[in-house]
Amino acid sequence: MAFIGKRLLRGLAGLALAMAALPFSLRAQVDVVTTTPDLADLTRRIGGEHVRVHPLTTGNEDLHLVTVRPSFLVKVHRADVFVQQGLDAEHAWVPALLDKAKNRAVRFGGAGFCDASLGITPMQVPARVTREAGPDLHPRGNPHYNLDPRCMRIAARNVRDCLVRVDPQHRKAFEQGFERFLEDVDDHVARWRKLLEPCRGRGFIENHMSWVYFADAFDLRIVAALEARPGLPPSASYLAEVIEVAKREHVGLVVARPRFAELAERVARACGAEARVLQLGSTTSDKGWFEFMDATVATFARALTPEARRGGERGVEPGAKPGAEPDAGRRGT
Amino acid sequence: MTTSWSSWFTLLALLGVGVFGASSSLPAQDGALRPDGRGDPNVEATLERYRRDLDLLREELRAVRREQESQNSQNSQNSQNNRNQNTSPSQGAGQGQGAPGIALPGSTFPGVALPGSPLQGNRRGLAVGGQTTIFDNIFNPAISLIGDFVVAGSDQKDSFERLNRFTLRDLELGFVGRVDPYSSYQVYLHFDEDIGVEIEEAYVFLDNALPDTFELKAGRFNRDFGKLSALHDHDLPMLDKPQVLQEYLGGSVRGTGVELHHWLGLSDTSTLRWSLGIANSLDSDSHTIFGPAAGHDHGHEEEGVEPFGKRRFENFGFHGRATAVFETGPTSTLQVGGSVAYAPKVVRFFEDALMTPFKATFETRIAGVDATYRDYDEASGTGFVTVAEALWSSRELSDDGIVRRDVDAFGFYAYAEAFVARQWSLGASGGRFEHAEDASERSSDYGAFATWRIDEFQRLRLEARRFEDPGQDSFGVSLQWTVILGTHGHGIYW
Repeated sequence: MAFIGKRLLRGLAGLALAMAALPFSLRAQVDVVTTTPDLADLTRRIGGEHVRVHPLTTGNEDLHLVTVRPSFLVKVHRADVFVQQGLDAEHAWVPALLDKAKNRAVRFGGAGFCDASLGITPMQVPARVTREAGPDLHPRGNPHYNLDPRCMRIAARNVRDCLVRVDPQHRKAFEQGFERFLEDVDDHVARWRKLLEPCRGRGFIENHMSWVYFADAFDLRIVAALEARPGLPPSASYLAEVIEVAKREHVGLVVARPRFAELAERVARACGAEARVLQLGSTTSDKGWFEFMDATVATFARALTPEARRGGERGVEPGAKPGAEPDAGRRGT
Repeated sequence: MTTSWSSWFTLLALLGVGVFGASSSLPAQDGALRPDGRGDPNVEATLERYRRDLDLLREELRAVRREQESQNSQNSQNSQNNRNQNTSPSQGAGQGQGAPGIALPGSTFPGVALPGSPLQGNRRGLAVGGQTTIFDNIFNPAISLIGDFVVAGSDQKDSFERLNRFTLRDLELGFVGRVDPYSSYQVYLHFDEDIGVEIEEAYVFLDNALPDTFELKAGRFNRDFGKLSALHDHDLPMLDKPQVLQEYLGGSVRGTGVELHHWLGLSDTSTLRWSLGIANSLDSDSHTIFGPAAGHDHGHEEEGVEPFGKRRFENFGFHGRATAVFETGPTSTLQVGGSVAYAPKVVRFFEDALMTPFKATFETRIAGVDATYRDYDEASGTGFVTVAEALWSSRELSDDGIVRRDVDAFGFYAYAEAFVARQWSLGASGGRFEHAEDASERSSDYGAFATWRIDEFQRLRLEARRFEDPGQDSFGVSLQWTVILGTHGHGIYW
């Protein structure tokens, strides 16, 4: 037994030496954990083969109300880099997760902590931080900047910088990935702007304060929100007011998260608009952020272009996903 | 990423290349190179990267300017709106604007205060004297207030003081803050109409100092035992803690001492957490509204120990818990756990036939197992949770200090709650237990509750419950209104 033990020990030592002799680049991948599939896609595009990316959420959840699961703790505990959307988007679970995961490398202040929102100019920053303005108030501003390609360029820069910080050996590859991402964004933005050009200035209704970055990026107009205050369900009188405003402003589209589909449908029917169920980012079943944006832009273009408003169908498709939009991918590319 | 071995090896290899390569290779003599490095592909690539970054910064700056221009116009519009007191949806939720009542501030950079912005304010001290003074609020702890207001009706007799009345069951004042990079300090004070003020919890939490995933609590706090006993009453899924917890543990197991925590990953999708604690004694704390155990009760089991000699090891209370959580599906988890507690030898005093005082010591042991299955779809806000916990209690008792008896008792509770919509849940719970001091007597209760979470900070709950007890059966209905002000827990529930 002792002989076997010594041989085993020598074998393990030899294996360890052999592992050490392997070039770093051949076996080391940076383990990246992201809070959203959007950030996972972004990181994969920048990091390429040098990163292994694990999104914690599927994109179907309300990012503000995620329950920490055992796999979250295990992944973050082992991670080299943690990328969050920031601006309080994940305030209900990320601080506790980082605290309990006990991985100093990815805690705030660690080299592997990446707040993708750094440098982004937040919109809808409340002048008065009071719950009177709504229970879901975001003191640092609206966190849904992933709907704006300009902001995603800045987020990409933050991710690149963090990857370089953690794995400087692959600096060049990360910079190349970043450059490619920027070029892709430029290409897509040109197409998206062209597609939405006929819709400039047109109004739509959202269920929650989520689409302001998208509206700003593509010169669209948010006429009203289905929630009277962020996080508060609307009263009947408030909804009547919304419908009246929507009619007056000739609103063509009501967008809502899946759980507000019924409400969006009701309002859309009342004001002659189209209701669409849209997520606020890509999901793990989508191909990535560009494809999500392709489909989202196509949805808006289809509902808001003057031709569509005049003769287009007025179908309500609760439960339809952006990717399920007919011709969505083709229209966007 | 495993870097230790490989990094050292790579470093050594590079050093080797550098040493041995230095004599054989001279720097490239490229005539196109300029003294400042222009023409060198590496330098050019770096410059190009900096240009790109500069472009992005310019883009950010343009966005900031656009934003500030928009703010100026928005602020003036808001002032106008405030004057008009008009909050129609079309005015509040336009492009680049917030919902009614929301406007853009003076500063667009988080944490950076522009002159005259609300962030800068009019603080004295730092702003005036250039030094932080005792009149500054920076570094002060975050404060929270939780109110738990109950109106309850019951057919229970002798309940004039406790039932068929309005009750401010709990006013909890919380202070939490970082002491330093290694620890935080958390204090929760309980106020109620009957007893005034009580230290509910006050502990130092060493959460960033120990190796691996270890954490240490020191102070007075609810001990880690079972699924529901450590929860504050306003955090419960129903009005009161289950009767069996009241009977065997006195509600919450509380004590002054230390508690060590650790967790580890069992697999990619499961974790095991364990804790061990020691305390002067295992006290109880209960603020029960309904049932035979109703009332505010504290059990300080160590009373009488101090005046008689020094504290011995056997006078301490011990407890431990281990719990594993497994992901059983994309939206579901299964948690199983086991807890044990040893209450210290209680010293009680008796008199013998000659009226001579003598003391006797008694022990209590409690063990419990629990299981929780949760399936919650966060996309729709619907799902359900089921929890069951069984407890065994073993106590040494005596009426005269001479004749002793051991009482072993068993009890359990279970509940299920269905989250039928984002704001609404319906639940039912029940339990049965043998009395801890006389196992031949049994009590049970069952009830149903409906909870309306108006929002994250306000909740209403209606509950009806029936109690069957050797003393008296009873039935009650309650309406509970809970509100939260300020910072509040977003922890990991395991």
